[in-house]
Amino acid sequence: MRDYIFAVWDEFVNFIGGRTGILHWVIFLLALMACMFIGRGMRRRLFWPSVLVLVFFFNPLFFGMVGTRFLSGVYWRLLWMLPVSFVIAYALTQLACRMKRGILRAVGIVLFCAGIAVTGKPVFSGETYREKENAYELPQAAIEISDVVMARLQDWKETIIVPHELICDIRQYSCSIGLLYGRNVGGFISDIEEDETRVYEEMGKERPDVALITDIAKARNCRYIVFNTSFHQIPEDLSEYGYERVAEAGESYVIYCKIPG
Amino acid sequence: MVYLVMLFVAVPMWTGVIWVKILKIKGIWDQILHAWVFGFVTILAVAQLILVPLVALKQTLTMALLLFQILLTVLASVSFVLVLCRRGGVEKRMRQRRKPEGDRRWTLVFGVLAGILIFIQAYIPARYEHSDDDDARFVAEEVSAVVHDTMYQDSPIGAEFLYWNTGEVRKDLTSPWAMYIAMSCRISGIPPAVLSHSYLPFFLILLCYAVYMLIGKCLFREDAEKTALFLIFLSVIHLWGYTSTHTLAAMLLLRIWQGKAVCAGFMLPVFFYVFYQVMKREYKAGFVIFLYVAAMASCLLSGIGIVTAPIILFLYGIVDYIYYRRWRKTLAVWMAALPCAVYLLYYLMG
Repeated sequence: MRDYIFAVWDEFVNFIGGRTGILHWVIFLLALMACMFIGRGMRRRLFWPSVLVLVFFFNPLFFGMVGTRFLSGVYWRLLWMLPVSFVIAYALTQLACRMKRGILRAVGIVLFCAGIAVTGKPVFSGETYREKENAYELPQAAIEISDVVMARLQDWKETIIVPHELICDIRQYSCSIGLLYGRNVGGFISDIEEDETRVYEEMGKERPDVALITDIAKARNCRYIVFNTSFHQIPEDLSEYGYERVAEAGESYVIYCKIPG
Repeated sequence: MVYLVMLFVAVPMWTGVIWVKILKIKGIWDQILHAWVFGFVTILAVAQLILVPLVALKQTLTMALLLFQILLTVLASVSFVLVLCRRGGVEKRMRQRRKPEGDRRWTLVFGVLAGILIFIQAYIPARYEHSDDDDARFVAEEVSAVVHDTMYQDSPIGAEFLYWNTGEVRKDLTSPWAMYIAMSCRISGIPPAVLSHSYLPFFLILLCYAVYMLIGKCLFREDAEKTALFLIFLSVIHLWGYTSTHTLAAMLLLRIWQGKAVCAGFMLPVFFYVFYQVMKREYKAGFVIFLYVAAMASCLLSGIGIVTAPIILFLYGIVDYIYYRRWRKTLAVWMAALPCAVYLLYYLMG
């Protein structure tokens, strides 16, 4: 039971983002208390449902029965049922509307907004958004690599190995290209096999074991390997490993193809 | 763009006319908002109804699209008939108390400010690039479906034959949001990555704010000035709500094209709104009926939709019972969780 209590608390902290999100939650709790006293209607619509959701969420028995079985790792998503932003916005609106119309109210509204902004973190920033490289909103290199491989298709699909930063992008552009490993390296979608893990680990190194990568690639019928030359330090000529350089993509990606025969 | 406006605005609105008539919604703005929101939910429910059995039967995307279009045509015809059956003469309009000139000026100022903030939130995600690793599964599934004309039959990673009951993809059988997007791609002719990243955010964020506006109108009893102010505060909370990658703000403004984000940003607020309408002494029974459709639609979006919809129905049902002691109404609300229970059981037994 104690483990469940700590696990639920961890989920909560994970959801709010630790100290970063604590002030918004303090505002939410204050707003919720205000809803309790504003009137019967708001108690019914905002206060009690929110309290019940919190009771459900923080209930270790519910976590043990439902959370660990069906919501492993995503138990925090239950907090979406809490109308956090609606409760805060409702309380602030009521507060603002109690002020006399005119400059005082305008200043009050600006101060409330500034308060929310200062205690939170902006969604739109250089950290989250950047200028798009193409209409797909995928790295241009992923599209160029895919185009090279698709132009040289020998079967209905080709299997390729790409640097870590591109494993989530290639298949969003083309389904004619299969990856030796993809997001399964992080434990998602499907299981990863041992040889795939070995290639993944090597591709994460600045000086990868090219012999190991090419041996596994050949064994798995993987005709293309892409290296990022701004990171990987590999010999330019891989013909001794059975692969030849066929194209470049982006500023630093080099595509190698298996030499026939 | 015309196709997209048809797909995400015109068709949902036309479908939603059925609900506007059933619920006898008055006032042009209320009718538009209800028609759009309720129509979109109905379309999601229809997609869920046909996609799950078709995926299980290994049918093609073309087959699913054909059935989907037939059902949408039926719904559109019903709407058409309802519009034609409208009684002649001018409908009674709700007479709103006219506010003094000074008050209306503030309403206008707040309304314009709210409109600008909402437009910024819809425009930036469509204009700029944000990458999310979960797209490696969802968008990849959509690409395979559109190109191979299959549904969940190849691995989102290796492209080899997989079928839905392997790994994480198994969850998608009961929540085939990706196939709904794939159908939209087929209709519009736009590649899945382009539709998901460049166009969907614009439409879906506006749709989410349509729900929030309905919530505001309901909480403030149709007071336009307070509703506009409510939307301003809501926008500011969302714009500065990135305290973690899990918050509603992050879901709404960073990856709204994913089913789980639509569940958090759109579907659960729809439930809130419907409950605010149902939790009254005098309520329209049509809202309770709509809960069944909403529960079905939430299953399409994500596994979390299948879990949260019954919980929220249960909790609000309890609150309603405590206040009004009408066990039949509470039972009717709880019964709306049945579609979710069926899909959950199907997932667990599959």
